[in-house]
Amino acid sequence: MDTVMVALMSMGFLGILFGFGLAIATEKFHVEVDPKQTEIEDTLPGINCGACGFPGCGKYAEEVTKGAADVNLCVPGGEETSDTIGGIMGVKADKKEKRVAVLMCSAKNVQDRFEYSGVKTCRAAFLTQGGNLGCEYGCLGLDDCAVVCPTEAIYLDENKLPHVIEERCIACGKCAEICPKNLYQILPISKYVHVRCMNLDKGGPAKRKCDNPCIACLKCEKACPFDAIHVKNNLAVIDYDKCTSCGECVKACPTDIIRDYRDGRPVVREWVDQFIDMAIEPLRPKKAEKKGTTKKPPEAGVATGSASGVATKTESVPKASTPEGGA
Amino acid sequence: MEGDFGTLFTIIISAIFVNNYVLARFLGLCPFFGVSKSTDAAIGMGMAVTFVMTLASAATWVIYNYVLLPGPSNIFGSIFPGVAETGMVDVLKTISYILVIATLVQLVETMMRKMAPALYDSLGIYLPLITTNCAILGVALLGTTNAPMPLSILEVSVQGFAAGIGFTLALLLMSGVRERLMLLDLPKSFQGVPIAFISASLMALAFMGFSGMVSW
Repeated sequence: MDTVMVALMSMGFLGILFGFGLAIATEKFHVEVDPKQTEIEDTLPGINCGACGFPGCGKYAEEVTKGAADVNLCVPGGEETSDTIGGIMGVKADKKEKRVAVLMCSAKNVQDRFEYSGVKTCRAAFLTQGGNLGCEYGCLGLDDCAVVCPTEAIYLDENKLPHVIEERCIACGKCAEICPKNLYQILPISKYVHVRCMNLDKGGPAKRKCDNPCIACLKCEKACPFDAIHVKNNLAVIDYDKCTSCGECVKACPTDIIRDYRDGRPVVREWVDQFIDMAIEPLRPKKAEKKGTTKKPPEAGVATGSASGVATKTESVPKASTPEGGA
Repeated sequence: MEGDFGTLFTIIISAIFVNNYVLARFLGLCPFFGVSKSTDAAIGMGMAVTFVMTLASAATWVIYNYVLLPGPSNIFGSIFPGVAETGMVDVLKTISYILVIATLVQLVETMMRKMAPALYDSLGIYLPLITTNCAILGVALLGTTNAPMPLSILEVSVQGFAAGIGFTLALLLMSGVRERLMLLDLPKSFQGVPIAFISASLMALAFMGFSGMVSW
Protein backbone atom coordinates (compact mmCIF):
# COMPACT_ATOMS: atom_id res chain seq x y z
CA MET A 1 0.00 0.00 0.00
CA ASP A 2 2.83 2.30 0.92
CA THR A 3 4.58 1.58 -2.39
CA VAL A 4 1.44 2.33 -4.38
CA MET A 5 0.90 5.59 -2.54
CA VAL A 6 4.51 6.67 -2.99
CA ALA A 7 4.44 5.72 -6.66
CA LEU A 8 1.22 7.64 -7.24
CA MET A 9 2.44 10.66 -5.31
CA SER A 10 5.82 10.86 -6.95
CA MET A 11 4.47 10.34 -10.48
CA GLY A 12 1.76 12.89 -9.80
CA PHE A 13 4.35 15.30 -8.52
CA LEU A 14 6.57 14.76 -11.55
CA GLY A 15 3.56 15.10 -13.87
CA ILE A 16 2.44 18.38 -12.31
CA LEU A 17 6.00 19.69 -12.37
CA PHE A 18 6.46 18.85 -16.05
CA GLY A 19 2.98 20.12 -16.87
CA PHE A 20 3.70 23.51 -15.36
CA GLY A 21 7.12 23.53 -16.97
CA LEU A 22 5.57 22.95 -20.37
CA ALA A 23 2.87 25.53 -19.78
CA ILE A 24 5.44 28.15 -18.87
CA ALA A 25 7.61 27.17 -21.83
CA THR A 26 4.69 27.39 -24.22
CA GLU A 27 3.82 30.82 -22.90
CA LYS A 28 7.40 32.03 -22.97
CA PHE A 29 8.34 30.63 -26.36
CA HIS A 30 5.01 31.31 -27.97
CA VAL A 31 5.28 31.96 -31.69
CA GLU A 32 2.76 34.44 -33.00
CA VAL A 33 0.88 33.04 -35.97
CA ASP A 34 -0.91 35.64 -38.01
CA PRO A 35 -4.67 34.83 -38.07
CA LYS A 36 -4.53 35.66 -41.78
CA GLN A 37 -2.13 32.78 -42.26
CA THR A 38 -4.49 30.16 -40.86
CA GLU A 39 -7.31 31.68 -42.89
CA ILE A 40 -5.27 31.48 -46.10
CA GLU A 41 -4.20 27.94 -45.29
CA ASP A 42 -7.85 26.95 -45.02
CA THR A 43 -8.54 28.49 -48.41
CA LEU A 44 -5.77 26.61 -50.18
CA PRO A 45 -6.53 23.18 -51.65
CA GLY A 46 -4.13 21.46 -49.26
CA ILE A 47 -2.76 18.94 -51.75
CA ASN A 48 0.82 20.22 -51.26
CA CYS A 49 1.62 19.94 -54.97
CA GLY A 50 4.40 22.53 -54.84
CA ALA A 51 3.35 24.25 -58.07
CA CYS A 52 3.61 27.65 -56.33
CA GLY A 53 7.31 27.03 -55.77
CA PHE A 54 7.04 26.57 -52.00
CA PRO A 55 7.19 23.25 -50.14
CA GLY A 56 3.53 22.72 -49.41
CA CYS A 57 0.45 24.85 -48.84
CA GLY A 58 1.45 25.81 -45.27
CA LYS A 59 4.70 27.38 -46.35
CA TYR A 60 2.99 29.24 -49.18
CA ALA A 61 0.40 30.63 -46.75
CA GLU A 62 3.24 31.79 -44.51
CA GLU A 63 5.05 33.51 -47.38
CA VAL A 64 1.87 35.21 -48.58
CA THR A 65 1.18 36.50 -45.09
CA LYS A 66 4.68 37.91 -44.91
CA GLY A 67 4.08 39.60 -48.24
CA ALA A 68 6.98 37.72 -49.81
CA ALA A 69 4.84 35.86 -52.32
CA ASP A 70 2.13 36.89 -54.75
CA VAL A 71 -1.44 35.87 -54.02
CA ASN A 72 -2.01 34.30 -57.42
CA LEU A 73 0.55 31.48 -57.38
CA CYS A 74 -1.77 28.62 -56.48
CA VAL A 75 -2.27 26.73 -59.72
CA PRO A 76 -4.77 24.02 -58.70
CA GLY A 77 -6.91 26.55 -56.82
CA GLY A 78 -7.04 28.80 -59.85
CA GLU A 79 -8.65 32.19 -60.03
CA GLU A 80 -11.17 31.50 -57.29
CA THR A 81 -8.51 30.79 -54.67
CA SER A 82 -6.36 33.73 -55.67
CA ASP A 83 -9.39 36.04 -55.43
CA THR A 84 -10.18 34.73 -51.94
CA ILE A 85 -6.58 35.10 -50.79
CA GLY A 86 -6.51 38.56 -52.35
CA GLY A 87 -9.62 39.39 -50.34
CA ILE A 88 -7.99 38.21 -47.11
CA MET A 89 -4.80 40.12 -47.79
CA GLY A 90 -6.58 43.19 -49.15
CA VAL A 91 -4.75 42.91 -52.46
CA LYS A 92 -6.29 42.65 -55.86
CA ALA A 93 -5.13 39.47 -57.53
CA ASP A 94 -3.59 39.87 -60.95
CA LYS A 95 -4.88 37.41 -63.43
CA LYS A 96 -2.35 34.67 -63.77
CA GLU A 97 -2.16 32.86 -67.00
CA LYS A 98 -2.63 29.13 -66.88
CA ARG A 99 0.47 27.19 -67.71
CA VAL A 100 0.74 23.68 -69.05
CA ALA A 101 3.42 21.06 -69.47
CA VAL A 102 4.69 20.56 -73.01
CA LEU A 103 6.66 17.54 -74.17
CA MET A 104 9.57 18.67 -76.35
CA CYS A 105 9.75 15.52 -78.42
CA SER A 106 7.72 14.23 -81.32
CA ALA A 107 9.61 11.01 -81.97
CA LYS A 108 8.54 9.10 -85.02
CA ASN A 109 9.96 5.79 -86.24
CA VAL A 110 12.91 5.85 -83.86
CA GLN A 111 14.73 2.51 -83.98
CA ASP A 112 15.91 0.66 -80.89
CA ARG A 113 19.65 0.37 -80.36
CA PHE A 114 19.18 -2.77 -78.27
CA GLU A 115 16.44 -4.66 -76.57
CA TYR A 116 15.74 -3.42 -73.06
CA SER A 117 14.17 -5.95 -70.74
CA GLY A 118 14.62 -4.29 -67.34
CA VAL A 119 12.12 -2.48 -65.15
CA LYS A 120 9.65 -0.55 -67.26
CA THR A 121 10.34 2.93 -66.00
CA CYS A 122 12.18 5.70 -67.82
CA ARG A 123 14.53 6.30 -64.90
CA ALA A 124 15.62 2.66 -64.77
CA ALA A 125 15.95 2.44 -68.55
CA PHE A 126 17.98 5.65 -68.59
CA LEU A 127 20.59 4.02 -66.33
CA THR A 128 21.34 1.52 -69.09
CA GLN A 129 23.42 3.59 -71.54
CA GLY A 130 20.83 6.35 -71.59
CA GLY A 131 18.01 4.10 -72.71
CA ASN A 132 17.40 1.74 -75.58
CA LEU A 133 16.25 4.26 -78.16
CA GLY A 134 18.30 5.21 -81.18
CA CYS A 135 17.85 8.92 -80.42
CA GLU A 136 19.63 9.71 -77.16
CA TYR A 137 17.72 12.98 -76.78
CA GLY A 138 14.23 11.65 -77.28
CA CYS A 139 11.38 10.29 -75.23
CA LEU A 140 11.85 6.73 -73.96
CA GLY A 141 8.12 6.14 -74.15
CA LEU A 142 7.72 4.40 -70.80
CA ASP A 143 5.21 5.97 -68.49
CA ASP A 144 7.07 7.72 -65.66
CA CYS A 145 5.43 11.08 -66.38
CA ALA A 146 1.96 9.56 -66.65
CA VAL A 147 2.42 7.72 -63.35
CA VAL A 148 3.74 10.73 -61.47
CA CYS A 149 1.07 13.14 -62.75
CA PRO A 150 -1.25 13.94 -59.81
CA THR A 151 -4.21 14.81 -62.03
CA GLU A 152 -3.79 12.02 -64.58
CA ALA A 153 -3.36 14.59 -67.32
CA ILE A 154 -0.80 12.59 -69.29
CA TYR A 155 -1.56 9.57 -71.42
CA LEU A 156 0.53 7.56 -73.87
CA ASP A 157 -0.70 7.27 -77.42
CA GLU A 158 -0.31 4.17 -79.62
CA ASN A 159 3.24 5.24 -80.54
CA LYS A 160 4.18 5.39 -76.84
CA LEU A 161 4.49 9.17 -76.98
CA PRO A 162 3.03 11.01 -73.98
CA HIS A 163 0.33 13.62 -74.50
CA VAL A 164 -0.76 16.28 -72.04
CA ILE A 165 -4.48 16.93 -71.57
CA GLU A 166 -4.31 20.67 -71.06
CA GLU A 167 -7.62 21.05 -69.23
CA ARG A 168 -6.37 18.75 -66.49
CA CYS A 169 -2.77 19.96 -66.30
CA ILE A 170 -2.08 22.03 -63.17
CA ALA A 171 1.52 22.84 -64.14
CA CYS A 172 2.93 21.31 -60.99
CA GLY A 173 6.12 20.39 -62.84
CA LYS A 174 6.35 16.84 -61.52
CA CYS A 175 6.66 15.40 -65.03
CA ALA A 176 9.47 17.84 -65.79
CA GLU A 177 11.19 16.75 -62.61
CA ILE A 178 10.98 13.01 -63.20
CA CYS A 179 11.77 12.93 -66.93
CA PRO A 180 15.37 11.67 -67.16
CA LYS A 181 15.81 13.43 -70.51
CA ASN A 182 14.35 16.76 -69.36
CA LEU A 183 11.84 16.83 -72.17
CA TYR A 184 9.05 18.69 -70.38
CA GLN A 185 8.73 22.44 -70.18
CA ILE A 186 6.07 24.32 -68.26
CA LEU A 187 4.89 27.12 -70.56
CA PRO A 188 2.02 29.62 -70.67
CA ILE A 189 -1.03 28.22 -72.40
CA SER A 190 -1.20 31.13 -74.84
CA LYS A 191 2.09 30.02 -76.38
CA TYR A 192 1.18 27.09 -78.52
CA VAL A 193 3.92 26.94 -81.12
CA HIS A 194 6.77 24.76 -79.92
CA VAL A 195 9.91 23.19 -81.28
CA ARG A 196 9.10 19.66 -80.29
CA CYS A 197 12.58 18.24 -80.55
CA MET A 198 15.71 18.25 -78.39
CA ASN A 199 18.14 16.73 -80.87
CA LEU A 200 21.47 18.56 -80.93
CA ASP A 201 22.89 16.57 -83.85
CA LYS A 202 23.50 18.03 -87.29
CA GLY A 203 20.86 17.51 -89.94
CA GLY A 204 22.10 14.23 -91.42
CA PRO A 205 22.70 12.22 -88.25
CA ALA A 206 19.51 13.62 -86.73
CA LYS A 207 17.49 12.54 -89.73
CA ARG A 208 18.89 9.03 -89.51
CA LYS A 209 17.65 8.62 -85.95
CA CYS A 210 14.12 9.87 -86.30
CA ASP A 211 11.60 10.89 -88.92
CA ASN A 212 10.82 14.12 -87.07
CA PRO A 213 14.12 15.73 -86.06
CA CYS A 214 15.24 19.34 -86.01
CA ILE A 215 17.79 19.41 -88.80
CA ALA A 216 18.88 23.00 -88.07
CA CYS A 217 17.97 24.14 -91.60
CA LEU A 218 17.37 27.76 -90.44
CA LYS A 219 14.11 28.03 -92.41
CA CYS A 220 12.15 28.89 -89.28
CA GLU A 221 14.67 31.57 -88.38
CA LYS A 222 14.17 33.21 -91.77
CA ALA A 223 10.40 32.79 -91.69
CA CYS A 224 9.89 34.37 -88.27
CA PRO A 225 8.68 37.98 -88.52
CA PHE A 226 9.43 38.69 -84.84
CA ASP A 227 13.04 37.45 -84.57
CA ALA A 228 11.80 34.99 -81.96
CA ILE A 229 13.33 31.73 -83.15
CA HIS A 230 17.03 31.00 -83.45
CA VAL A 231 19.07 27.91 -84.16
CA LYS A 232 21.58 27.24 -81.41
CA ASN A 233 23.66 24.07 -81.19
CA ASN A 234 21.85 22.63 -84.20
CA LEU A 235 18.49 23.08 -82.51
CA ALA A 236 15.84 25.72 -83.11
CA VAL A 237 14.94 27.49 -79.87
CA ILE A 238 11.94 29.76 -79.46
CA ASP A 239 12.24 32.91 -77.37
CA TYR A 240 8.80 32.83 -75.77
CA ASP A 241 9.01 36.49 -74.77
CA LYS A 242 8.98 37.50 -78.42
CA CYS A 243 6.93 34.68 -79.90
CA THR A 244 3.33 35.51 -80.80
CA SER A 245 2.42 32.00 -81.96
CA CYS A 246 1.71 33.34 -85.45
CA GLY A 247 2.58 30.01 -87.02
CA GLU A 248 4.94 31.20 -89.78
CA CYS A 249 7.67 28.83 -88.60
CA VAL A 250 5.17 25.99 -88.48
CA LYS A 251 4.53 26.49 -92.15
CA ALA A 252 8.23 26.75 -92.96
CA CYS A 253 9.47 23.74 -91.03
CA PRO A 254 10.37 20.92 -93.43
CA THR A 255 10.52 18.15 -90.83
CA ASP A 256 7.32 18.95 -89.02
CA ILE A 257 8.78 19.41 -85.56
CA ILE A 258 7.62 22.97 -85.02
CA ARG A 259 3.99 22.46 -84.31
CA ASP A 260 0.88 24.25 -83.50
CA TYR A 261 0.50 22.30 -80.32
CA ARG A 262 -3.18 22.89 -79.74
CA ASP A 263 -5.00 19.61 -80.40
CA GLY A 264 -1.62 17.94 -80.37
CA ARG A 265 -1.21 17.95 -84.11
CA PRO A 266 0.15 20.22 -86.79
CA VAL A 267 -3.08 21.99 -87.61
CA VAL A 268 -1.68 24.21 -90.32
CA ARG A 269 0.02 21.35 -92.08
CA GLU A 270 -2.57 18.62 -92.09
CA TRP A 271 -5.82 20.50 -92.28
CA VAL A 272 -5.08 23.52 -94.38
CA ASP A 273 -2.58 21.95 -96.71
CA GLN A 274 -4.65 18.86 -97.27
CA PHE A 275 -7.54 21.10 -98.07
CA ILE A 276 -5.46 23.08 -100.52
CA ASP A 277 -4.11 19.87 -101.99
CA MET A 278 -7.62 18.58 -102.48
CA ALA A 279 -8.66 21.84 -104.07
CA ILE A 280 -5.77 21.95 -106.47
CA GLU A 281 -5.75 18.21 -107.14
CA PRO A 282 -7.45 18.53 -110.55
CA LEU A 283 -4.98 21.22 -111.56
CA ARG A 284 -1.93 19.35 -110.37
CA PRO A 285 -0.55 17.75 -113.54
CA LYS A 286 -0.33 21.15 -115.17
CA LYS A 287 0.84 23.24 -112.24
CA ALA A 288 2.95 20.62 -110.50
CA GLU A 289 6.20 22.32 -111.47
CA LYS A 290 5.17 25.72 -110.21
CA LYS A 291 3.13 25.14 -107.10
CA GLY A 292 4.46 21.77 -106.17
CA THR A 293 7.99 22.96 -105.53
CA THR A 294 6.87 25.85 -103.38
CA LYS A 295 4.19 24.01 -101.49
CA LYS A 296 5.58 20.54 -101.23
CA PRO A 297 8.64 20.80 -98.96
CA PRO A 298 6.60 21.53 -95.86
CA GLU A 299 4.57 18.46 -96.60
CA ALA A 300 7.55 16.18 -96.56
CA GLY A 301 7.55 15.02 -92.95
CA VAL A 302 3.94 13.92 -92.75
CA ALA A 303 2.72 12.68 -96.05
CA THR A 304 6.01 11.74 -97.75
CA GLY A 305 4.84 13.61 -100.81
CA SER A 306 6.45 12.92 -104.15
CA ALA A 307 9.10 15.64 -104.14
CA SER A 308 10.25 15.11 -100.57
CA GLY A 309 9.84 11.37 -100.81
CA VAL A 310 12.70 11.42 -103.26
CA ALA A 311 14.68 13.57 -100.87
CA THR A 312 14.23 11.16 -98.00
CA LYS A 313 15.03 8.22 -100.21
CA THR A 314 18.26 9.75 -101.41
CA GLU A 315 19.11 10.39 -97.82
CA SER A 316 18.28 6.87 -96.85
CA VAL A 317 20.98 5.48 -99.11
CA PRO A 318 23.88 6.95 -97.12
CA LYS A 319 21.86 6.14 -94.00
CA ALA A 320 22.13 2.45 -94.78
CA SER A 321 25.83 2.60 -95.50
CA THR A 322 27.17 4.83 -92.74
CA PRO A 323 25.99 2.89 -89.67
CA GLU A 324 27.67 -0.20 -91.12
CA GLY A 325 30.85 1.74 -91.71
CA GLY A 326 30.60 3.18 -88.22
CA ALA A 327 29.91 -0.18 -86.66
CA MET B 1 42.36 10.98 -18.17
CA GLU B 2 43.49 8.42 -20.72
CA GLY B 3 41.43 5.71 -19.11
CA ASP B 4 38.47 8.07 -19.14
CA PHE B 5 38.80 8.68 -22.86
CA GLY B 6 39.29 4.97 -23.44
CA THR B 7 35.99 4.21 -21.72
CA LEU B 8 34.18 6.81 -23.83
CA PHE B 9 35.75 5.41 -26.98
CA THR B 10 34.64 1.90 -26.04
CA ILE B 11 31.12 3.18 -25.38
CA ILE B 12 31.00 4.91 -28.77
CA ILE B 13 32.22 1.88 -30.73
CA SER B 14 29.92 -0.36 -28.76
CA ALA B 15 26.80 1.73 -29.33
CA ILE B 16 27.44 2.39 -33.02
CA PHE B 17 28.61 -1.02 -34.23
CA VAL B 18 28.64 -3.84 -31.70
CA ASN B 19 25.32 -3.16 -30.01
CA ASN B 20 23.73 -1.19 -32.83
CA TYR B 21 20.26 -0.42 -31.56
CA VAL B 22 18.54 -1.37 -34.78
CA LEU B 23 20.60 -4.20 -36.19
CA ALA B 24 21.82 -5.92 -33.03
CA ARG B 25 19.18 -5.04 -30.43
CA PHE B 26 16.24 -4.78 -32.83
CA LEU B 27 14.84 -1.61 -31.32
CA GLY B 28 13.33 1.20 -33.37
CA LEU B 29 12.34 -1.04 -36.26
CA CYS B 30 9.24 1.02 -37.03
CA PRO B 31 11.08 4.14 -38.26
CA PHE B 32 13.77 1.84 -39.68
CA PHE B 33 11.25 0.53 -42.20
CA GLY B 34 8.92 3.51 -42.31
CA VAL B 35 11.35 6.32 -43.05
CA SER B 36 14.07 4.46 -44.98
CA LYS B 37 12.52 4.86 -48.40
CA SER B 38 14.64 7.88 -49.35
CA THR B 39 18.05 9.06 -48.23
CA ASP B 40 16.89 12.61 -47.47
CA ALA B 41 14.19 11.48 -45.06
CA ALA B 42 16.62 9.01 -43.49
CA ILE B 43 19.12 11.77 -42.72
CA GLY B 44 16.42 14.03 -41.24
CA MET B 45 15.01 11.25 -39.08
CA GLY B 46 18.48 10.12 -38.03
CA MET B 47 19.44 13.63 -36.92
CA ALA B 48 16.22 14.06 -34.96
CA VAL B 49 16.64 10.68 -33.24
CA THR B 50 20.28 11.42 -32.38
CA PHE B 51 19.29 14.77 -30.93
CA VAL B 52 16.47 13.37 -28.80
CA MET B 53 18.46 10.30 -27.71
CA THR B 54 21.28 12.46 -26.37
CA LEU B 55 18.94 14.71 -24.41
CA ALA B 56 16.75 11.84 -23.21
CA SER B 57 19.76 9.90 -21.93
CA ALA B 58 20.90 12.86 -19.86
CA ALA B 59 17.39 13.65 -18.55
CA THR B 60 16.58 10.08 -17.58
CA TRP B 61 19.95 9.76 -15.87
CA VAL B 62 18.89 12.60 -13.57
CA ILE B 63 15.53 10.96 -12.88
CA TYR B 64 17.19 7.60 -12.30
CA ASN B 65 19.75 8.88 -9.84
CA TYR B 66 17.68 11.43 -7.93
CA VAL B 67 14.16 9.98 -8.02
CA LEU B 68 14.30 6.25 -8.57
CA LEU B 69 17.47 4.97 -6.87
CA PRO B 70 17.38 4.37 -3.13
CA GLY B 71 19.78 6.24 -0.86
CA PRO B 72 20.35 9.70 0.57
CA SER B 73 20.33 11.38 -2.87
CA ASN B 74 16.67 10.45 -3.47
CA ILE B 75 14.63 13.67 -3.37
CA PHE B 76 11.50 11.83 -2.21
CA GLY B 77 13.47 10.06 0.49
CA SER B 78 13.08 12.94 2.95
CA ILE B 79 9.27 12.85 2.61
CA PHE B 80 8.80 9.08 2.46
CA PRO B 81 11.45 7.25 4.45
CA GLY B 82 10.42 3.97 2.75
CA VAL B 83 11.54 5.26 -0.61
CA ALA B 84 15.01 6.07 0.63
CA GLU B 85 15.41 2.45 1.66
CA THR B 86 13.94 0.57 -1.29
CA GLY B 87 13.85 3.03 -4.17
CA MET B 88 11.34 2.85 -7.01
CA VAL B 89 13.45 1.47 -9.84
CA ASP B 90 11.43 -1.66 -10.51
CA VAL B 91 8.08 0.12 -10.11
CA LEU B 92 8.42 3.39 -11.95
CA LYS B 93 11.39 3.14 -14.29
CA THR B 94 9.53 2.69 -17.59
CA ILE B 95 6.56 4.94 -16.94
CA SER B 96 8.58 7.82 -15.52
CA TYR B 97 10.97 7.63 -18.49
CA ILE B 98 8.07 7.85 -20.92
CA LEU B 99 6.80 10.89 -19.05
CA VAL B 100 10.20 12.54 -19.08
CA ILE B 101 10.92 11.82 -22.74
CA ALA B 102 7.49 12.98 -23.92
CA THR B 103 7.82 16.20 -21.93
CA LEU B 104 11.34 16.73 -23.16
CA VAL B 105 10.43 16.29 -26.83
CA GLN B 106 7.52 18.67 -26.47
CA LEU B 107 9.68 21.22 -24.68
CA VAL B 108 12.45 20.95 -27.25
CA GLU B 109 9.95 21.35 -30.07
CA THR B 110 8.47 24.49 -28.53
CA MET B 111 11.86 26.03 -27.84
CA MET B 112 13.26 25.09 -31.21
CA ARG B 113 10.34 26.67 -33.00
CA LYS B 114 11.05 29.96 -31.29
CA MET B 115 14.82 30.00 -31.15
CA ALA B 116 15.95 28.03 -34.21
CA PRO B 117 13.24 28.11 -36.89
CA ALA B 118 15.60 26.72 -39.54
CA LEU B 119 16.37 23.66 -37.43
CA TYR B 120 12.67 23.33 -36.67
CA ASP B 121 11.85 23.32 -40.37
CA SER B 122 14.24 20.46 -41.07
CA LEU B 123 13.61 18.34 -37.96
CA GLY B 124 10.15 19.50 -36.95
CA ILE B 125 8.10 16.91 -38.79
CA TYR B 126 10.11 14.04 -37.29
CA LEU B 127 10.10 15.18 -33.67
CA PRO B 128 6.50 14.20 -32.76
CA LEU B 129 7.06 10.84 -34.44
CA ILE B 130 9.84 9.82 -32.07
CA THR B 131 8.29 10.89 -28.77
CA THR B 132 7.59 7.33 -27.70
CA ASN B 133 9.95 5.57 -30.07
CA CYS B 134 11.15 2.33 -28.52
CA ALA B 135 14.77 2.91 -29.52
CA ILE B 136 14.83 6.10 -27.49
CA LEU B 137 13.17 4.45 -24.51
CA GLY B 138 15.58 1.55 -24.98
CA VAL B 139 18.61 3.82 -24.90
CA ALA B 140 17.31 5.43 -21.71
CA LEU B 141 16.47 2.11 -20.03
CA LEU B 142 19.68 0.35 -21.01
CA GLY B 143 21.87 3.36 -20.31
CA THR B 144 20.67 3.91 -16.73
CA THR B 145 21.60 0.60 -15.25
CA ASN B 146 24.10 -0.79 -12.83
CA ALA B 147 24.56 -4.02 -14.74
CA PRO B 148 28.11 -3.78 -16.13
CA MET B 149 29.00 -0.58 -14.28
CA PRO B 150 27.24 2.61 -13.19
CA LEU B 151 27.75 5.30 -15.81
CA SER B 152 28.35 9.00 -15.24
CA ILE B 153 26.08 11.58 -16.87
CA LEU B 154 28.75 12.33 -19.48
CA GLU B 155 29.11 8.66 -20.37
CA VAL B 156 25.35 8.22 -20.61
CA SER B 157 25.02 11.25 -22.90
CA VAL B 158 27.85 10.04 -25.11
CA GLN B 159 26.24 6.62 -25.25
CA GLY B 160 22.91 8.18 -26.26
CA PHE B 161 24.62 10.25 -28.94
CA ALA B 162 26.54 7.26 -30.29
CA ALA B 163 23.38 5.15 -30.29
CA GLY B 164 21.75 7.88 -32.39
CA ILE B 165 24.69 7.82 -34.78
CA GLY B 166 24.36 4.05 -35.01
CA PHE B 167 20.64 4.43 -35.73
CA THR B 168 21.38 7.01 -38.44
CA LEU B 169 24.00 4.70 -39.93
CA ALA B 170 21.58 1.79 -40.11
CA LEU B 171 18.86 4.01 -41.56
CA LEU B 172 21.20 5.46 -44.19
CA LEU B 173 22.49 2.03 -45.24
CA MET B 174 18.93 0.76 -45.46
CA SER B 175 17.72 3.73 -47.50
CA GLY B 176 20.58 3.23 -49.95
CA VAL B 177 19.70 -0.45 -50.28
CA ARG B 178 16.01 0.31 -50.70
CA GLU B 179 16.58 2.94 -53.36
CA ARG B 180 18.32 0.24 -55.38
CA LEU B 181 15.66 -2.32 -54.52
CA MET B 182 13.02 -0.09 -56.10
CA LEU B 183 14.58 -0.72 -59.51
CA LEU B 184 14.73 -4.50 -59.21
CA ASP B 185 12.45 -6.79 -61.12
CA LEU B 186 11.02 -8.76 -58.20
CA PRO B 187 8.17 -11.21 -57.92
CA LYS B 188 4.99 -9.43 -56.91
CA SER B 189 4.86 -11.04 -53.46
CA PHE B 190 8.36 -9.78 -52.61
CA GLN B 191 7.93 -6.18 -53.67
CA GLY B 192 8.03 -3.42 -51.07
CA VAL B 193 8.29 -4.33 -47.40
CA PRO B 194 8.99 -8.12 -47.71
CA ILE B 195 12.23 -7.62 -49.60
CA ALA B 196 13.10 -4.82 -47.17
CA PHE B 197 12.72 -7.27 -44.28
CA ILE B 198 15.00 -9.76 -46.02
CA SER B 199 17.62 -7.11 -46.75
CA ALA B 200 17.43 -5.92 -43.14
CA SER B 201 17.99 -9.43 -41.85
CA LEU B 202 21.04 -9.80 -44.10
CA MET B 203 22.35 -6.46 -42.82
CA ALA B 204 21.80 -7.64 -39.24
CA LEU B 205 23.75 -10.79 -40.06
CA ALA B 206 26.58 -8.64 -41.37
CA PHE B 207 26.54 -6.62 -38.15
CA MET B 208 26.83 -9.89 -36.19
CA GLY B 209 30.44 -9.78 -37.35
CA PHE B 210 31.06 -7.01 -34.81
CA SER B 211 29.77 -9.01 -31.85
CA GLY B 212 32.43 -9.80 -29.29
CA MET B 213 34.68 -7.02 -30.54
CA VAL B 214 34.03 -4.99 -27.38
CA SER B 215 33.15 -6.84 -24.25
CA TRP B 216 31.23 -3.96 -22.72
